[in-house]
Amino acid sequence: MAMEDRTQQLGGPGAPPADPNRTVLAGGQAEQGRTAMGAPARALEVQAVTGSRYGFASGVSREHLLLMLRAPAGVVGRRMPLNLSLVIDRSGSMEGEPLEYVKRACSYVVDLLEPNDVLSIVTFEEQIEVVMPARRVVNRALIKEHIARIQPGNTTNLYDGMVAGCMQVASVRASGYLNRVLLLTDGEPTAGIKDFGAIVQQVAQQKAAGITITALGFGSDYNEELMAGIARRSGGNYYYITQPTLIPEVFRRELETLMTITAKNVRVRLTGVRDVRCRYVYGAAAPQFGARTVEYTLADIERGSAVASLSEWEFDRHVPGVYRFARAEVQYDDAVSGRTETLTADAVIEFTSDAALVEAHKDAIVQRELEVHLASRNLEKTMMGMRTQQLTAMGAMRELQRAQTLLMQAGRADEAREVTQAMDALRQGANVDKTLIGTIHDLDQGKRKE
Amino acid sequence: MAAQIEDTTRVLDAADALDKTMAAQRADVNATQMGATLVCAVCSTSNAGLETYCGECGFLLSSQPGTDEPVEAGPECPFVLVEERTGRRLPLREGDNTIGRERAEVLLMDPTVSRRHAVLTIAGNTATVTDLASTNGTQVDGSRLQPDVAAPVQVGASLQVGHVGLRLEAVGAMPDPRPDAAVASPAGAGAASVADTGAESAEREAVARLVAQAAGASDIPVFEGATTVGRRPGNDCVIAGDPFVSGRHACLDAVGHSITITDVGSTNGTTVNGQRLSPNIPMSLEPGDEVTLGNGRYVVELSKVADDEQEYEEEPDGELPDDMDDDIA
Repeated sequence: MAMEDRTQQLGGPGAPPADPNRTVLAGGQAEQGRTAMGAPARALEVQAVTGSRYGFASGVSREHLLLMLRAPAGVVGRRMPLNLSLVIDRSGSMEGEPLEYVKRACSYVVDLLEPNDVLSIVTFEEQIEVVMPARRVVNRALIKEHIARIQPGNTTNLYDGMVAGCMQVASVRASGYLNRVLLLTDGEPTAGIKDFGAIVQQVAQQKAAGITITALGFGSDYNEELMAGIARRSGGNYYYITQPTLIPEVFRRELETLMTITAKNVRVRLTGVRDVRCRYVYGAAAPQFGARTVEYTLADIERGSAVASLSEWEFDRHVPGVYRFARAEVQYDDAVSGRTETLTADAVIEFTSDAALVEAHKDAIVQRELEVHLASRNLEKTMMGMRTQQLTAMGAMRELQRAQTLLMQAGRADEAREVTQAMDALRQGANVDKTLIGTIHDLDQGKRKE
Repeated sequence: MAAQIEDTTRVLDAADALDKTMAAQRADVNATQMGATLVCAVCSTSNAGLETYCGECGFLLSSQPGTDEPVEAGPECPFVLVEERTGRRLPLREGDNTIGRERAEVLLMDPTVSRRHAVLTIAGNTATVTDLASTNGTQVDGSRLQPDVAAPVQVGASLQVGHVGLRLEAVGAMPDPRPDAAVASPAGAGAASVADTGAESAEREAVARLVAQAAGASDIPVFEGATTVGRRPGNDCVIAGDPFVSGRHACLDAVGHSITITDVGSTNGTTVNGQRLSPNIPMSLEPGDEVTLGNGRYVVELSKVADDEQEYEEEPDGELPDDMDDDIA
């Protein structure tokens, strides 16, 4: 199983990684000067937009804060080298066409990667097999030979397969890689740890260690709650693959996405001033509230895309005037500058005792983002309603149509199209959960192409 | 679309922050020793001269507070809920306060909390809680409530909502944090901020400390935002017993990971790693830096919470959401 050519072994520690703490501090310091000069040589821009220009001074009130993180298409850095692990389900149900297409997809990935990238391949059934330990993609032919030897087995030990993939990624000690596990399965976990909570907890630990998992569900028998839950907790992508022939295409799409990531490990910290509280962060997997702060992570951001992060705030009575009610700090690894950067933005509001002003100056973009989140919650309820049969097919259709219209209006064409596809499937009596859960996942991530 | 957002955000540019004229004018109002320190007109907190907004209440320091009469508020609620794990304060109102995961007055985003979990009713000086047939139940001081039966809650009682621990506290025990109570003339500000200081610092977590090197000397805590240091009462950190420390000596500013120290015009100066600071020019501090204030020597140490490793550490997810148990609204 072990490969012969030792030249491909990853070298030693390589360049010593910079002390992350120092880099952060330096980034923060340099930023002030650079903002004044304009033209930041960085992958991300951040803006804080308050839901209304005015807040109500004379009583308790609530307002939204939209944090817009943009990765302009024009700012091109070097591509982050990938440290990728393909974790493949080779349970009995994958036998035949599915496994053949998976092998084709894996070989395709090998072609797309460059010698800078690191690849490992793990398969799981009852047993876990490291088909290829993490190494640079130099000898493509040899890697493909290993892929060709993958054979179907019996049960589905997803947990151990996932952990083995993560371990391969973690075994690469050099810094600067984009760490990713592509987890493909076609069924429910049937061996090893099967509990949703335990699996998602493992995902959270891997995320904390800097490893993101993309969940690829194939066919009609996998557990979409579990796969979407993994992607959600991890900040990774979720794909529903309907046909074996589509497997290579989806792998290609995911690879393309990964290769344009320009900001990774994106962490947000919002700090409120006194008499102000953050109530809720929309779409965040596990926001951590402190006495005055809330911290959460966002998905990696590709060049030419933007992430909208919405939070709800509550204000006590205020002396009328202009206030910075919260400060946002966004820390991330920047592919353009090659460093950990910290961006800041001020959330500003003017408190007034004139309630009419508050309503008259609502921000249209913030409102639109709120509607997108509302659509996502409605899709969730529609899904749940169909499952519990509290909602008839006709009722569900009506709800989906409403969501579709709303998403179109909000400029979320991709997601609107997915809802349309779900409606078509529903008309044919098919189960639409696997599609809708992906739509909800995408909406909650708040990411869009610009 | 980018242009649209540009219009709606009112990000003040860096030029504002460097408006030294404004800083100088402000300083005249106060004691000579304060240099370019800006005292917030709303909450009386001292801020370093380069700050645009008050570190405590967020007020735009270059502006004047409005004079509109605040509208009469409803009856004040004498209670507040405190989240035990985080210290987060969740205010309550007279009447019914729903506790839950969706559209609740007390919003708790924990998967073990039901969408509509319980209701906390405040009537004058009494508080009662009613569990709304939640999946994971509500406990008062350790005993689980029957659904839909109101139970009294005393001040200091612990309230367990799903896995979230809360405590009911009296608001009256704290100095009135209402901004209208804090509007005071600069002359009155000193007295007011003494009272404020104790409560505020108990509430604020230190993000770093200046660890005293001399035996018997106290450490200086650095809070998120501004921490003023000096001999006189009214500073966030009072250094008593060192005559070489000025009444208002220095100001520490912490914003997330970056900490700066500004000498606010002290008589005997402040040094960082042996280098004397120019008054009113902030100097960034890093862990391990040596700082002297008067006769005192200190070393900068980040608190655990401010440590990068810890900061974004994630909690494992709890149980499955109880979506299935709740109605479709």
